[in-house]
Amino acid sequence: MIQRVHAVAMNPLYTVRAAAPRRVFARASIRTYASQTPGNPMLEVFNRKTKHLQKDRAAQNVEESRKVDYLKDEVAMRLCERLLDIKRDFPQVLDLGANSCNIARALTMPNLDTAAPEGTLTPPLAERIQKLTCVETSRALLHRDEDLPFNKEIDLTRDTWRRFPYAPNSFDAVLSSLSIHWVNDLPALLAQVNTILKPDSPFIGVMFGGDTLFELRGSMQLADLERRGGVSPHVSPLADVKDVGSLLTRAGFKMLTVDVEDIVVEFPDTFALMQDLQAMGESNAIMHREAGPLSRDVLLANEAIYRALHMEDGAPGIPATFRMIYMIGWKEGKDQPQPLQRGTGDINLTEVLGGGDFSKK
Amino acid sequence: MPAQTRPIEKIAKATAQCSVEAAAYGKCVVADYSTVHKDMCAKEFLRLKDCFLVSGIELPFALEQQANTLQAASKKA
Repeated sequence: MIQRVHAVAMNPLYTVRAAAPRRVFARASIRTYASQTPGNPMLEVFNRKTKHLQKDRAAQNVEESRKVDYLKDEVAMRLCERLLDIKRDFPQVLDLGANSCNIARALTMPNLDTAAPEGTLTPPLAERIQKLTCVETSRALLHRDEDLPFNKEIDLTRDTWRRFPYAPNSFDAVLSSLSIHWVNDLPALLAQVNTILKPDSPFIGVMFGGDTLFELRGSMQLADLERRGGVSPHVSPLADVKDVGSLLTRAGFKMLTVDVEDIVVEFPDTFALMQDLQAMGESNAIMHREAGPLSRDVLLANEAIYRALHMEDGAPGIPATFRMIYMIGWKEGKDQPQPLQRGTGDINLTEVLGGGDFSKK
Repeated sequence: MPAQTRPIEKIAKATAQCSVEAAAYGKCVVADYSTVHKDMCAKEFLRLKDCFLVSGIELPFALEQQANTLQAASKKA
């Protein structure tokens, strides 16, 4: 078929005669089918090998790597807080893209009891989890904190992530913290997560999104433009909040919750920011990024522009915004509560919550 | 291994000494940031770079060379 189309394109006179030589051609050469994974053709955005190397290299400097875990630890804590709302035991839990097992550490911390008087602690979430499996692409990062005390407080298995070896319906919860923003084929990954979950079990994840590092993205573009007359992507693209809902729906999740949280970190200068990103293993890994280090002129220009644009008066350092998108989706299950049809509610919310009438105030 | 200073730390230190020039350059770019083009603020940038290169902090070799040529050029002018 392709042969004929080609012939037509080359010279319309050959179309009638194309049938005979085509058969000869087919016999003479061996062709195999090109295979492609089913579903939509995938667009490679990130270079997986680059990302792997960045994470491995970052983790090899253990001291530096631990020092910059402030963001991942904080976000892991906030993610695990969401588990507190689910009054259940989780025999089997998967931590997808575990980094240095930040979630495992967060799970072993005692929690503040919000219902009891102030200062009362509830036992750590780890007591409700029988077995935690941590998967991560970077072996060095995954095994970095193997010897720390928290490993003894939770039944932990570390797994280097090559492909998905897990059977369908095998996990009671899948958690993921600051990792899946590097995944090329997010729809396929979420669909697999949905498959390995047991019915009526949650996927709770968080990733960098949308406006993360918008300051750096903008000032880098300006510096590039002014110094070199063109723009090269220095900050990797991220998913937007409004895409996450449809992504989860596409993967078959029900009862979605998506919310956004900003953490603004103050750095002494842009160089410190970039060093920290590198030590986190979160440097740019876009497919066709420029080879070699950044030009020093651009670095210098970027520092000046970043300060001019974003530094607040009197502040000692520069702000950098990290936007976290939290997502919760439940695998479909029997007896799962369903949302009611629109318009079927028979309680007026103003009666329950009070207020609501702005004209009276 | 003793803690060695990375080139980027040296650059950060050198830049910190040129805050006046950096502010001038930043102001120039930001003043009209929707229509930035190449070398729009070349004058301000050269002043910043000049300060950066002669800031007296031991720089990586390649940069040191650059500093020497720049100084020679400015003497000629």
